[in-house]
Amino acid sequence: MKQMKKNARAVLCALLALFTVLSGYFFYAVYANGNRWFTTPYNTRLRAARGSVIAGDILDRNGTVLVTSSADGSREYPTDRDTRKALSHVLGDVEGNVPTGAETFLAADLLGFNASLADRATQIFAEKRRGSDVQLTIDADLQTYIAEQFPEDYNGAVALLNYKTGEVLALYSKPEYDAKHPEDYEDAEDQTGVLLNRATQGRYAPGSVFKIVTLACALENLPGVQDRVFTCEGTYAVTEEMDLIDTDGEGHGTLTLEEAFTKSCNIVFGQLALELGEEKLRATAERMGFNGNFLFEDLIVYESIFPKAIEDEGELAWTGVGQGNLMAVPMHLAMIAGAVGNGGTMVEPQLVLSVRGAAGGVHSRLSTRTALQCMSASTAGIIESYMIETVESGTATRAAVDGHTIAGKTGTAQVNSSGGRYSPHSWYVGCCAEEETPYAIAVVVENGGSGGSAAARLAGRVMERAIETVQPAGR
Amino acid sequence: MRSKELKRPETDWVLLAMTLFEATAFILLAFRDGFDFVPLILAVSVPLLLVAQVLLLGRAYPHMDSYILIIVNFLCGVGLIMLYRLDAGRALRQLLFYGVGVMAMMGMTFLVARYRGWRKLRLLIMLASVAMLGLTLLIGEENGGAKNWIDLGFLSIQPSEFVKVALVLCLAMDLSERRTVRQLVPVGLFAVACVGLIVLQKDLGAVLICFLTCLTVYYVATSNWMLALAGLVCAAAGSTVLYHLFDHVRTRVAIWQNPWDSPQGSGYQIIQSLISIASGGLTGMGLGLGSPDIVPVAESDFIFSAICEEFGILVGLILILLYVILFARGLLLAMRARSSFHALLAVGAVTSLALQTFMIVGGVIKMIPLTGVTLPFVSYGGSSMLSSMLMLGILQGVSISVGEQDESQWRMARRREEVPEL
Repeated sequence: MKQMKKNARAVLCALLALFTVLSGYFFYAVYANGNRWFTTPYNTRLRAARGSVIAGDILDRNGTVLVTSSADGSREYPTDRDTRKALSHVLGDVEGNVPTGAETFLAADLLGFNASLADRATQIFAEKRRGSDVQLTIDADLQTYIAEQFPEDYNGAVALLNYKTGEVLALYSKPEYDAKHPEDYEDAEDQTGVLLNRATQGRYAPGSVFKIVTLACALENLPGVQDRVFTCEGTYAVTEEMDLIDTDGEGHGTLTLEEAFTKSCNIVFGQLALELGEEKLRATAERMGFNGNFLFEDLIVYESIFPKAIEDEGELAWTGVGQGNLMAVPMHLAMIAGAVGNGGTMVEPQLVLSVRGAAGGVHSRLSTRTALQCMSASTAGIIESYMIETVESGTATRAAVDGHTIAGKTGTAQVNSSGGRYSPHSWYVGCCAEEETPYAIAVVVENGGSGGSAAARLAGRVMERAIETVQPAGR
Repeated sequence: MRSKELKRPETDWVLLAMTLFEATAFILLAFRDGFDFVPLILAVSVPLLLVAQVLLLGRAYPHMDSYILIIVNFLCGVGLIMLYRLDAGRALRQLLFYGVGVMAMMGMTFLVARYRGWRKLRLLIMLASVAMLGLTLLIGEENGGAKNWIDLGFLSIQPSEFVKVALVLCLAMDLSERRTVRQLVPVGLFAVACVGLIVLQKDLGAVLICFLTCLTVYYVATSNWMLALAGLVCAAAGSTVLYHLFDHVRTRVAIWQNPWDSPQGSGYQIIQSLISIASGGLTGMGLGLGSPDIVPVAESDFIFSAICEEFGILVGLILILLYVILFARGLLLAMRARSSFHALLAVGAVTSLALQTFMIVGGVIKMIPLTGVTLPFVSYGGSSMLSSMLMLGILQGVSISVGEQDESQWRMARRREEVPEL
């Protein structure tokens, strides 16, 4: 009997544990994924709600109304065609053609599913309920400017955020879509390519911008690496079949780590990757969010990919310089650049500044949260100084902004496709290293050639414009 | 110390809160679209059923566990509210099942607390169970991949639900007095026969519940954790075999791993369930304001999602908490029981109900693969309601005999104190 009592107690403990896990999982799963479940295209509630609820407006950070509902409940996008197209991927559309836009992902707010009790109470007798207005962190003028400045005839993406608060200031993807004229895209050859937001969902080979990660790994794992002197002869035989080649193949001669970074020397960084090994390089990349699963509250950002297994030394060396099987998402690289400027702390990007309920109450939604602690503050400081030097005298001089301290890194990502050899993707990531204007940026111009020209030039202009015109929130 | 255990628990305020909750919900439903007087009747009768049970049964049997009684009736009430919101006709049938269930519960309570001739019934229960399961295999109806219904024309019954109760009774009877392997052959054979027949019906949720209940009761009775562990290993091996044998098991697992592969096809149910839960948020859409009817079988398997959508995740968590209190009190009864028969009865009833609750709640939130079992006391279904109520009757019967034993011992102790030694 006594033994039975003890056993019954064991059963009780087991059941308590089982149900604790159940409740914990339940709460966590809904907290982490709730909005993602809710906003899937398979939620017929959203479609139904659009019939019975007047969706709220979407405003930009300066209060400009971007999307509003007309009297009959249909959605009105910006009348100016260029503005409308520049913002197409951020805003999305009611049909959910652009699956990750604000119209879909913030539907719970716009359609009043999250409305407070007070908001609901004021509308008991309303014929049609009204959803909440959402003010985005996006600067519509800046975004339109980016669209104007983006090299004609090229595709790509730009992501710009405030790396201290997480506010996303611009999120541009090209080719653009037009929510007002979906019929224009019905026959498009590559329809999903148009609908994809390349800034948050596009996965590209990062090229030399990945050297930021390799550098961080070297600084944290190889004591004294800063004081070492390297030699670059233009090529380096890693294995019998695999040579590491520098961009022009002429060789940089002897150089320090800093010079290797500012000149973006493949030989030195490939050798560093070999010295560090696959495990350490992967660990550093994962600390910065590669292979992670971002569950941000306001927007969907796909994860960048560091390969699960690297086949041989040759691939490892190429991975260290950003080639191999690496894949990076522009927004994520902007966040990494921001972490460099922010003493190693990566903040969670935020797209919603505030929500105004139907009763008129405004709730601020901006709450700065740390997403990842990517590296130590000292490592971040060293990388930042190297990146500043890169803009002052290295490969990224075109990204400079007069009178401001800019840190940056260019990349020229080789792309091999079955159709033959294309021009490489042109990359730039960087940040403004100043207290008042803590902006981080990532630019990719597909097949745009060397990163030092197309991407860096665009980034410099955009950064200058952002520094001059972006107003702090809550002005 | 004894007097503390004998004091009647203070449940008045809980009772009041629950009554108000039920009444308000039904009144809201009455004014949903236009006016409907049926919910107003329910607004009075359902809370009345709860209060009457607590007052009358509480008076007749002071040792009934009133917490358990209140919790179960509240769960039934929440189920009725949700059912009425989804489908008024079903709710009224469920009310009938609920009433019959309460009577069945009282009968079982009486039997467990008072009846001394269980051994005579043992063979009968065993034969009836096996016969019912066999009959289901012959003339049963298929439903969702499992052949576990018998259609009697005016109503369908699900024999596996009642076999769970039979298993708990027989296991407790045999394991409380027989210990050697040889003595356990009959009940062992019975358990194997039941589990085997339910496997043949492809009702894998019930298989899992029966098997794990058997193991738990066996472990508590004999402390033989080696054999219990071996049983678990067998279960794992068996599951693997079933996985390869049955198509619908493979589909279920595949859906659980990634429902988004086929959001309009096989993954539809679970994705709609997740969307439904997420729509409610913490505090819910409000009764009648959500669309839980989009989720297939929202009235039985997915009733938890429907409740979460309209009442909110907080209420969902409170329901889980209520179940936990129910199960914990059941096991505390087992720990206080003086006879191993009663202890094992309580362990068996609690294990069976708890596993079922865990499996369906875990299933609809995609924590584990979905097995089509009902949420005890809440889901629509006569067989499920009756069998859950019989389990409750077992617990109440144990509670009464435990309480009476405690009281008589306490009296004896008092008498000893009062009579001065000469």
